[in-house]
Amino acid sequence: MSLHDLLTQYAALAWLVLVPFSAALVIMLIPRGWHLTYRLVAAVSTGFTLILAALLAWDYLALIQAEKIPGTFQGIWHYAFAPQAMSFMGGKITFHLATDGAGVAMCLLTALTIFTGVFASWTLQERAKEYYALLLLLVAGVFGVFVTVDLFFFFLFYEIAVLPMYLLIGIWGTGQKEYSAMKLTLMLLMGSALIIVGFLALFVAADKATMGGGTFNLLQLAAVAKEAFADAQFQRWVFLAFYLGFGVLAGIFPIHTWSPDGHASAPTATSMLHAGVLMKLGGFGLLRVALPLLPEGLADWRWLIVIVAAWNIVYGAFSAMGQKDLKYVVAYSSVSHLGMVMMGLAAGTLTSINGAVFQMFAHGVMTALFFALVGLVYGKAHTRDIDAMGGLARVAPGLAVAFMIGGLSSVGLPGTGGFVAEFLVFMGTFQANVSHPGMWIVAAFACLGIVITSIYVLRLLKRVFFGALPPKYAHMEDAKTTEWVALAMNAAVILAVGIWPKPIIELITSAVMPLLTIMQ
Amino acid sequence: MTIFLTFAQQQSWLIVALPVAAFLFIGFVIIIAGRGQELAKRLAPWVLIVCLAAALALALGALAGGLARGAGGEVSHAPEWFQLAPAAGEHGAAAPGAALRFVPTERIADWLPLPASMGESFARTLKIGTLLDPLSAVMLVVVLLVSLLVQIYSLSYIKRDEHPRFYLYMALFTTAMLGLVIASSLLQLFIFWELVGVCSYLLIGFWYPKPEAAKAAIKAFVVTRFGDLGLLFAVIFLWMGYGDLTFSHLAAQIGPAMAAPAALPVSLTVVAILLFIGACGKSAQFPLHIWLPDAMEGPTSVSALIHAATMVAAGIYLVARMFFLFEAAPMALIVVATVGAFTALFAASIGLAQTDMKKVMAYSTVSQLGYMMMGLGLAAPAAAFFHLTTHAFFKALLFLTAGAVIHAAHTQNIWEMGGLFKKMKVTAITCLIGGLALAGIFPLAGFFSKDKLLESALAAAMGLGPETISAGLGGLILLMALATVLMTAFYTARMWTLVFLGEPRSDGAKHAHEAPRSMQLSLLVLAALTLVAGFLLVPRLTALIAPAHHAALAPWMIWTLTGGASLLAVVGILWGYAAYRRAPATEPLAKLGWAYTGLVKLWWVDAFFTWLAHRVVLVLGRRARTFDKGVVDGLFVDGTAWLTGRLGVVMRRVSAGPLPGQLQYAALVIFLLAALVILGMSLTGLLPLLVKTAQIGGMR
Repeated sequence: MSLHDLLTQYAALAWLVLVPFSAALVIMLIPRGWHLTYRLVAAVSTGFTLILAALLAWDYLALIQAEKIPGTFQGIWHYAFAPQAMSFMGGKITFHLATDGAGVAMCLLTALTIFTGVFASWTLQERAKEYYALLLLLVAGVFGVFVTVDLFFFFLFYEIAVLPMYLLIGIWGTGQKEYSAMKLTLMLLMGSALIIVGFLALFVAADKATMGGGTFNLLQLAAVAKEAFADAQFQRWVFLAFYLGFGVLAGIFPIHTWSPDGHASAPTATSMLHAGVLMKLGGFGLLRVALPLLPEGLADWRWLIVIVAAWNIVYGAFSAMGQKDLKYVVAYSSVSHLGMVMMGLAAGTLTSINGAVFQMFAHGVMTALFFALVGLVYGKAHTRDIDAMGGLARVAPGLAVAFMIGGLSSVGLPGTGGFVAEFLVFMGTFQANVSHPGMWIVAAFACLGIVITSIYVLRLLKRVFFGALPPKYAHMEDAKTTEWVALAMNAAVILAVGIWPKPIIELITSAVMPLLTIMQ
Repeated sequence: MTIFLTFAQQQSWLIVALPVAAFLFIGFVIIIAGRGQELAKRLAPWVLIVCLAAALALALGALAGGLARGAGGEVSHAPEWFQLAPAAGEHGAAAPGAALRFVPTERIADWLPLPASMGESFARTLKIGTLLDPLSAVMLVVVLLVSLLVQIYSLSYIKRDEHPRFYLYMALFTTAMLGLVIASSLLQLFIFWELVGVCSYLLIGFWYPKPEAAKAAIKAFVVTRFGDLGLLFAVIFLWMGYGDLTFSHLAAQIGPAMAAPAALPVSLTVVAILLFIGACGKSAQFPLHIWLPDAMEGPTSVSALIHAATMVAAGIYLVARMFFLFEAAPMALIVVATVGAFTALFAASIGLAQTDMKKVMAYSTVSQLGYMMMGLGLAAPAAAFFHLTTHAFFKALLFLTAGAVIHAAHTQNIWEMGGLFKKMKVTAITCLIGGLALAGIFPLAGFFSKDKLLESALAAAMGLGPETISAGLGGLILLMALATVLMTAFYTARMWTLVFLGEPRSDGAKHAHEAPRSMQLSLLVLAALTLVAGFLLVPRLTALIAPAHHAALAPWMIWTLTGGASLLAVVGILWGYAAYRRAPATEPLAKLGWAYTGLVKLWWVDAFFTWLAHRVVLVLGRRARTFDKGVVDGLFVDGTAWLTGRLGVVMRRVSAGPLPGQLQYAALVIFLLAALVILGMSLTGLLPLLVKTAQIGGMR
């Protein structure tokens, strides 16, 4: 029996969701105070998802190599799991799991981030039990979003992914954590409201067009999309709902302000997971639902989205430059980098969408590394004020090297994942100029962000790690064993996908090509 | 032997792989040995030196192999675009003796597979590989030779404690530089182009506890990155237009007679100028030259290798590599030639008044790079490349002697030196050789290469240059080039006189002593290269990259030019010597008045950019922060929250109040809401949609 059959028959995707979910339950059942046990359960379960995700990626690549991906939108979905028992409302809602190359890549990112996140928060003491349980619950939700094709469950998982954040920040956060937690949750819920309206609109429209055959299943919706969503006005407004709804999570200007406060207040692993994976759900939602079903809507709003995204890139970079708190710098850099994702998606060429998805992956790993580092620096130097630090490379060369790798990826330096992503997005957006004259001017403006980014990243490096070492840090420690897992794995992946991007790009292309075909 | 040559040609990727191996090995040793361990300190230099020596052997093999195949009259599988290579005899004076032929080798692999977009017939895959042609083969040898000598020199120049980190960075730099040179596609060149930039950043900031070093590192990176933006745009435009970025493909598609593809949104001239902006950043052309003098904060051996001989020449290399693009867009040549000539003059003038030995040389490097750029702009890439090669040797030599002097005298200020000739004879004499070569004195290398550049300027002045460059502009360029010759000779003589002659003017200079043997070795080898590179093999090799474009000038004109330029150089040297022989207490140049102020203030270019960075960019950053916190977040987000809260309070009061008031409120709210909804719907066009939907529903 081949690997592919094994993964399909034994419902690999269901395990991906189920294992973190049941690990969360198991942790809740373990008596209070068994800290090492929680950590081990968390590490083993997330390690399992990492192996599973890697196997899925390996197998999907093998499928591509063997040319078993036909290149039609319906043909890219694999590892289907749709038990009869979990079919509701006469089949209108089904627990239908299946995923494509882009989903597999995102699963890999999620597994990597949570696995390293567990190690980055290894030393957490306060209410460790609830912390790990919530973290794992959140991850189960994220995996769910990436592997489901039923919009009802998509939304369900989406909410499972978003809501634990309120508790994670509110309880384990720092600074004005209650304010940040509330702001984040309220703003994201506003987005959710728009998304559910969009989903219901899709359902109703499909129901009308097929005389009562409405469904939440993405694949069936895609099959009837041409007739059901033919109305230009329908496309325009439902797409806008999705853009704004998912856009909140993707940090589009001006509804991004939950992100810096939220990230600054959140504990380390939560920031890692949130900036690394959760913010990608925004772009992913558009890619998964809005782009294939509502291509006319995209065409209507393309200029708005691209211009806002370019503004995000430049404005986010400038804002990051003005910050004094290490975490705020990283958070605003996410606002800037996620503009790249939106720009790539909206520009709508193969290269740009490829780049956007690649950016989701590359930025995820990079920002997870960054937040892990910020957490470590904070834990050792007891401050996040950039001006109070300096010369830390002397006492913590390991942290400095890891920070340098993350920083250079942020700058978009060749050899790191950030370069491949930015290069593809910019190339693709320039290329969109052929069908949308003038697009290259927006892209060129966005490119200014590259220079600004290099200014703030290098100044940050200089002020934290170079220059004179204040005496109080003379005995600061470098990263330790468990912490190294988080740093080394993320840094290695950043370099690996930068030097040899072919596998990830092949996974992504296999999903984007058919998408473009049905968007025609 | 033949087997080795073939091997070196076929497996030229090994030339890049060897320093990579050194990099990985040193990194590994640092990690397992921990910090401050003997093992890493002892091993690091030798690992790199051995790897570089092996790579140099391979590079020489590859060069010889290409020539041997050319001499064998082999029918080459060379791409057609290589027909640029000159046929025998076509060259006249440019290539004395029988013309050499070189058979290029190209290897290409897919790096980033990108399928064709909708309605396109060709894939847009990004490719990497190796390309050995005269340009890259010679450049590889130059880079490796200088790098190897600098590494040997650094054995005693860099403190033993710092060896592992230094050689780690150096291995990375050499890798990146070789990858840039051997690149077979513009994308790959861009990738390594950025990587050398990072290595430059790391090495300028090598002594990072020094705030100036950390600052200079950032300045270098950001300023060159600004130029890189131009290169990035050029790369993307070319990719949009041609789909494949390998040089062979581009060169076959771009030419004066060929129309630009429709997918290209801008003209080829714009693309060429964008590419040139990238070259300006890396090769420190006006006004992006400001980072190079600051980069002298790095160790001197770094300055010699990266900021004199190799990396800063990458811009020249890029333009020479993409010269077919400039031929197809000759308007861009005007920009290249003018910027180059102006930079040469401008930087030489600043070099006149510098007091820091390394800064004199830094401005001299900027000026010489300007010369090369001018040569490219006048369609004489072979001359520019010739000068690049000789400059790599004599400027690296000059920097290494400066390092020896600074090492001995513990100061960089030439006014605090003096009388070092007696104490460090080897250094003084090798420095003199380098200086005379820089000034262009026969028979040193600089004389020959500079002469070729001046010839192209003379041709342009007579209207024989590229069509787009008028005789008037050509004359102006020639004048600037000749003025530069005079200034170069003057500041070289000034520097050498103040450093080596007279009496010691500080304690450091009094107690100076000759450099250690390993440093002397590098100096002597480079001095030997400077002596012979002007006439031995190098001119013939560099002439391979392209035929001279201008029609041959009459011999008497060339002789007059050579004589005149040499006379200018001699006058400059004597003048400089006479003015500074007694080390006058006040700077003689101060008599120039306002011009001297300009020289000292670096013609206010740096001041302008400092203003731009601190008063504009950083302020914008702070403004963005307050705007985001105050307006976007405060007004909109917190404002909405506040409004909601207030509304709740009002509603509570209303619903708790007497009945008539409640009814009034309710009526008012309903009316307002309805008005708002209808207005909004009709404005957005949602109303017709709703009506239609209702009709459809009614029909069912």
